[in-house]
Amino acid sequence: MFDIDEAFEDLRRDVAGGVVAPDGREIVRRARRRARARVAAVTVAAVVAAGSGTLLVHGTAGARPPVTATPSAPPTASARPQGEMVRSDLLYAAAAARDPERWSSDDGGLNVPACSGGTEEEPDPWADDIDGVVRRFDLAYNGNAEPGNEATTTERGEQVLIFDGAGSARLTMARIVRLAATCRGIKVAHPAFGDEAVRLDYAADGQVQRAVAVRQGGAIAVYWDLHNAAPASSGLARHERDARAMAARLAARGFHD
Amino acid sequence: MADEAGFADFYRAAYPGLVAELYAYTGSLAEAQEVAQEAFTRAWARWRRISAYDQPRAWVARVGYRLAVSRWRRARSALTGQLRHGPPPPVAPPGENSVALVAALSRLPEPQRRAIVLHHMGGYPVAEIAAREGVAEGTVKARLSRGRQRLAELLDDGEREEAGRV
Repeated sequence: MFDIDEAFEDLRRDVAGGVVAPDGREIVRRARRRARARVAAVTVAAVVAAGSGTLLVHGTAGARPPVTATPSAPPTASARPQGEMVRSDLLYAAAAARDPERWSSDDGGLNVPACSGGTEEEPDPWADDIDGVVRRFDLAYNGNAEPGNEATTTERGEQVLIFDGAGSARLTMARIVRLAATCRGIKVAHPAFGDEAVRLDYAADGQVQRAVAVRQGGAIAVYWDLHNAAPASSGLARHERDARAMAARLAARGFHD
Repeated sequence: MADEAGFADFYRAAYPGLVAELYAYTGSLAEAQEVAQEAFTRAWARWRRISAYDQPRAWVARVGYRLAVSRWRRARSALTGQLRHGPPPPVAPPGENSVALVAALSRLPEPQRRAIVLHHMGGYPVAEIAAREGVAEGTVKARLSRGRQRLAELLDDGEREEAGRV
């Protein structure tokens, strides 16, 4: 008879017992290389900015033309979120409560298309904690009809990040735009709603990723979908509708520039 | 340097267990190793802050799960990973029972799989999983219960198929 505790204990012993950590010095070296590459990229940008009088934020040399961003004041240590938001404010909170097997709290990175971190070797730039985030709400719907089959992946979701102030939120929006702009395949548009918004559309290697992100004061909301061979579970028009609705809701909750 | 020595000790101690946990979640030992290495690379960059946490391992694990989800969603190829980190160090392949368990896990709905792995491999209590997922404790308990039941069915089916072949 299946004993789950014993089965997992066996798995842990089996795998952990056979794994040895690679040389930790390589981990440290890799991290330092990336930090140097990031500093170099920012330094080049600062030199260019000093000449033009405008802050330019762009990726590594050879990337697409730089994206101009208005400099923002860095958040102060005493900055607090402007408004209040609770989980039930999410547009899909009720749907998630009705179907807890298909809906989950994502706790993933920010689900916006990005090719790379703009630095050497850095994958998945949104997997880390995002600076200035004091609270986050994530919901993801998994429409995969065959769990475990990557080919039939189709998902969509809602994310709302509450920052310690509008400054941090502006910096994150700038980073969303910058990372998208350094990837040739991502189509970027800027619909006019909220304090700022961006629409991203990316199709590559048989996968489609789309998202609309809107900043309303010190909060950012993202509506996204992703699918491989399966039909899409949402689309850009719906994402934009959702983002507009959430921007209005956040404004009503006290989030504004 | 004290920082680097402290990190090295932490990394050596935490790496095998994290790889085992991520293997259960992703279904691929190579992927688990690569994701774990990437997560520790990010941890080093923030070590001054993370080393002061009660549970630095929890931070690394959280980033590991995010990377795993991100990679799975974006269908990163194994080749891309090898170009970044080099081929994973050779590891004895998991035993038959482990492979069967991980294969069964991969067939669970994602919320159930994650709850099961966090609880049974990661050792997180229900309350912590609920807080992390932003759901009620009852929801986590239901996911664990249904997940365990489904795992048992899948593994029993596997044993019956095996017995039929012998």
